[in-house]
Amino acid sequence: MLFDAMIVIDLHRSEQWSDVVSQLDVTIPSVVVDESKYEDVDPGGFPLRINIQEDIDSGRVKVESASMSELKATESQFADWFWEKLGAGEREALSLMRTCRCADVQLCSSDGLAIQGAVMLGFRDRCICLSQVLRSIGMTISHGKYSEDFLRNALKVGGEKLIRGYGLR
Amino acid sequence: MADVAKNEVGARIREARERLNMKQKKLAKLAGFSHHQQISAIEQGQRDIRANELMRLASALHVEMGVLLGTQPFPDTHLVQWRERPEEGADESEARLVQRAKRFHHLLEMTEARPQTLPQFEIQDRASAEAEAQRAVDSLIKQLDLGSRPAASLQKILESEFHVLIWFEDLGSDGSAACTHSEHGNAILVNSSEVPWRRNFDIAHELFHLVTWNSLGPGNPRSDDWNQEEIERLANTFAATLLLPAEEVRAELYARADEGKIDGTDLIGIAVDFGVSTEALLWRLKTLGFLKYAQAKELLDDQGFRQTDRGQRRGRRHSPKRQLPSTFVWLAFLACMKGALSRSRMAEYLETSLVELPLLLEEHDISEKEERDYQETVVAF
Repeated sequence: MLFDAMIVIDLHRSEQWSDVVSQLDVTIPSVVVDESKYEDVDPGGFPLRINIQEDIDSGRVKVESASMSELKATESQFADWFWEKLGAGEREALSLMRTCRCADVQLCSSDGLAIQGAVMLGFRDRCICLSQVLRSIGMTISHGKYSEDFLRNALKVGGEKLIRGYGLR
Repeated sequence: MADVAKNEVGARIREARERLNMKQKKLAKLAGFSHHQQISAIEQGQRDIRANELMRLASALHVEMGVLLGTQPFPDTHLVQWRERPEEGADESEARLVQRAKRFHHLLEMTEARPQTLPQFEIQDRASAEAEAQRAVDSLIKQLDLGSRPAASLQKILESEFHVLIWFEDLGSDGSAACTHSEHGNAILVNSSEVPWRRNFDIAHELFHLVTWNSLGPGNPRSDDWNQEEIERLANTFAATLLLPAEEVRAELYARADEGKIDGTDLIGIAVDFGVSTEALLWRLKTLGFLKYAQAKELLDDQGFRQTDRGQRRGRRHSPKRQLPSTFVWLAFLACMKGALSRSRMAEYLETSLVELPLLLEEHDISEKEERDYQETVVAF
């Protein structure tokens, strides 16, 4: 499972993170480790502490980093205007999906554009939503962007772009 | 497996750093490296770079990751004009301003926003320069619809109607303001440590540079014939004329005058009312013929008058309310709502973290409700 930063943050907010990483194989792109790092009061008013490095050190979470060549090669697949829309973590996640070492991981993202990008690279079957992931371990989360409907829409839009070559080089 | 791009990326990191006249030590600190030797090793292609390190380096160097990867060209930062260039950090401020302008340009494209075009005025020669500057002011006052107290509305109208983005940054005690005009649009940089009335003047002053860019901007052949001091003086005249419209100032003077006379306290009150420094008002009154040079000079040299001025402005020395222009924040949010910008990219554009993004949006009156609507919109895209 390749998680994006919003998922890491929201799983910490809902205090489900520990349960998830103890039951699933979780891989985090190196950029997401930085993007989700936080130690202060959450804008919601509660103390929030996110430091995946500790989970990485203890072996509960695996971190993967895309090389410069891998990032460049992935960027070369997309039109500039589409690539510009993606954050650094999403760019790295898509680059990792193309590598042998992450050939088996599934992308679990809360962002429609990242899912579209994965579909455009031919990884339609390797996208999964957080609701599905949590259900597999008997947990739930209520948030539209983590729903199957959201994933379905993103897969559809990505599929249309792939067929039309829209957003690809 | 050796990364073939390592050497090339290392060389580009070095170039980006050198363009900013930044030491390896500073870059190491800004990008979260424990030692500057790590930067040295990266630049020489002797050390692998992780993607998160590349992101941090790009952020510290104010370039997109693609620039360091070699998939995008280096941005042209020579198109920034300074009023007073600070001795330290000017290169970084320029790079930041150019990157922000470029990102704003992307936002306009993503949201299909169509701002009004800021007019350009031709300044032909020295002899007619002042008259042309006056014509530019008259035209702008009509077009911008600034009202009777232009300083109160100038920033908002420039940003919301003409998408001239105004950024505030601490430029130290020796930096004043800068602006840039390119295919990416117009942007003004103002020293946040200046007092509000000086910041108002700076914005008006930089506006002059923007609307005369084609004739007097940097790199224009005609600007080579001009002494920079002359251009700056003209920009000051323009700013004073724009912020202190003759009719409005006259009306205020008559309203406050007692038997044809007006005292120093009232003059300071008028300057405060118009959102300018007392010095700017006095020179404007001299231009309008209400004061003689010697009278203006005498007042400005009078320590008692200066003290009263400071006293009347006590409690008004507030910092800019927001570091980011609201138009920029709203367009980024709109782009994200439309599914044209990912949420993490929005956080990058708005120079904040994903966790703190809702707070920043709230500062710009984008409420949780709009956030929820956003999520529903994205679900339904």
